[in-house]
Amino acid sequence: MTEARRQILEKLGAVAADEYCIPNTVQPAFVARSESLALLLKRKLEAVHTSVDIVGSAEQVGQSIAGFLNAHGSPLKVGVVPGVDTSSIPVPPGLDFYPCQDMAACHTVLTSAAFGIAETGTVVLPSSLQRPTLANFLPDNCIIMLDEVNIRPCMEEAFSSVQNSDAGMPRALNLISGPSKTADIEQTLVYGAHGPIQLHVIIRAV
Amino acid sequence: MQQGSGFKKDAVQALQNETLQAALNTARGGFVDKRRVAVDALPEFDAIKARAKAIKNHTLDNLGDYLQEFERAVIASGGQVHWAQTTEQANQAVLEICAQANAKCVTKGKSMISEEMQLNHALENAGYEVMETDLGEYIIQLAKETPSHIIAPAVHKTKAQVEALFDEFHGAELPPNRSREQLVSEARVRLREAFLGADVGITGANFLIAETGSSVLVTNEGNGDLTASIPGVHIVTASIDKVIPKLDDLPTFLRLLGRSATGQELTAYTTLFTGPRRAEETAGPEQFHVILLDNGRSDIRDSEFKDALRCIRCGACLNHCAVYGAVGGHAYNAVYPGPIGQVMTPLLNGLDSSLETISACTMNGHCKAVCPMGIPLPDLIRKHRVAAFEQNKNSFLERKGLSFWKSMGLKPGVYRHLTAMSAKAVKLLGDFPLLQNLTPLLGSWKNGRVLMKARGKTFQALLKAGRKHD
Ligand code: SF4
Repeated sequence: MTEARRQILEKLGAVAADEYCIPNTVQPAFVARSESLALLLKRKLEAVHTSVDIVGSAEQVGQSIAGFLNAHGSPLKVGVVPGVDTSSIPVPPGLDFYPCQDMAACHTVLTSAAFGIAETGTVVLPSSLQRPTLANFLPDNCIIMLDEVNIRPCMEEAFSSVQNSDAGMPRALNLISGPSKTADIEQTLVYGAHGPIQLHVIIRAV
Repeated sequence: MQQGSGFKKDAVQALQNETLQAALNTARGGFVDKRRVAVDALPEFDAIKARAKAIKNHTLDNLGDYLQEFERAVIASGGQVHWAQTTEQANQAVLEICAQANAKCVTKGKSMISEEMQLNHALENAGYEVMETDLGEYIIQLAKETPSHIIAPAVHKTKAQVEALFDEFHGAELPPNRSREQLVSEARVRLREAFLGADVGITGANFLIAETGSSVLVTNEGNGDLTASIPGVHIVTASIDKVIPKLDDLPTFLRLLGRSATGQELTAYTTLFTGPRRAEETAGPEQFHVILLDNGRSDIRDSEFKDALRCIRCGACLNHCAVYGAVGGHAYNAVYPGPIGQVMTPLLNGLDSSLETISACTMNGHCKAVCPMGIPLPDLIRKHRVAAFEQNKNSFLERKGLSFWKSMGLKPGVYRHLTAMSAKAVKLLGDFPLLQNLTPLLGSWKNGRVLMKARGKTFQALLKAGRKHD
């Protein structure tokens, strides 16, 4: 192994390292022209089979969750990841939150994104004890909350926000743009290949 | 059969295979149209291409340094890097990790490097149970085939064929004529079991980031994440050309990759894996390993084929290739089919077994035009042809033919005369179809083609006549 390493590096040579100077000046202009970052994010996510509500109050969060579950005929039981505090969310009648331990046994999960990316219609979820990555992939329904202030215009800004956060780079940094899908059978899109079949994003404009 | 060989025979079979032709027909338009719409919607596309190319060129020039920076960052995040010059060494590294982990079941995300390594063979021979988790890879694993496309491994299969495979392997009493949704959910249930029972997860990497030690994985299914995040050990198999300098460079490449591959701005899931689970975390792998495979790339870096190492494996060149579109991926009998395969296969497996493959190119330049990394694919294929000719590898007939062509090129007068005569002959054939049956070679040429009515004059002659009119 160390011999392979030595030989590869010897072949590649320590070429006089030329300085890295490739400025990143090209970014898609449509982001700057857009209505608002939240609306652009919503539009982009909706285009990839994701329902999005922009809400202005805590009551509306509960309503948005119930509305999503009802629309898909799913039970109103929601497993919540450790990082989400539901105590401030008024619960509409019939809706039930419970702390979720086993993601494989969870049908609907509620988690939160650290950032959003308007350019690509993406929510960004750094993994941690508070925000387990498997919550994004095992349950059939995945509900992700995002604060509007955390929406970044483009990917570069979201990455640098993650890098500069206290936790730094997480083990898994998930960029999610829509539910799981596959086109491996005759190039025809089918949702819910492995991960969530339904994805719902709630943007909190408070 | 030697990798890369047998193109002619397999191509003929592929052309006569009606099921395959049906599958290829379904695929062809889709990729091309979706790419065009996505690229047209981003006016900055060419500028982004230029930046991506500059970054890759810079990285390749300083590859040793960036690989060491990557290694340091992986170790700092708690992971390990294993260097391998050959595929055997790479397989050995994976097997050792699996043995130490006392593993039984291994799940795999799609990885072209593991195809290069023939890792599944190595693992199965060592007694491990291996499960491919990308739906396309899963299908061809059941069919005991190899991928026929670098981003759509089962593109050569029709729904009926998939259903037949699932009937055989999913057992039980399954109703006939199931929908695609039903087939996908059958596989989902099967694979969910495999995910939850896996001891080791192996994924590929679309990019490695030197600055952070991250490995980037792009999927639509989310299978890569389940592969990487459930078992106690996560192994990434990647080649040395995958590295890019900074996290800030990644968006530039992502903007090109999705659009060029499937016409998506971004795939459903893009994940950056950096090290094993953190101290306070209760889920995620305890070990994170990256296998860095060279397999000839350090030599390619210093050769006239260096440009090929910029490839981000988007598949656009395959989707726009006339030959690939007609015969599909298996005829190439190599890990990488299509134009990028025609460049890489001789480099990975030697020129001798690739002679038929490199001749199967019309030089129409479509691949070069759509390649987001600006790789001059036809020029590189031509370089292989020149090398084959110089090393006297072509058949006697081919050499004679090429020499004749060369002499024509040097005598424009004779050339004009001969083309004028053949233009008349083609007109004659068009006017009197019965004559066509008497012409040698034309019969097989006409399979799948129509001989158009010709005007009997060469383009040059028409041009000249036109000019006189003006
Ligand atoms: S050669 Fe270019 S077009 Fe072909 S797969 Fe690589 S990057 Fe894509």
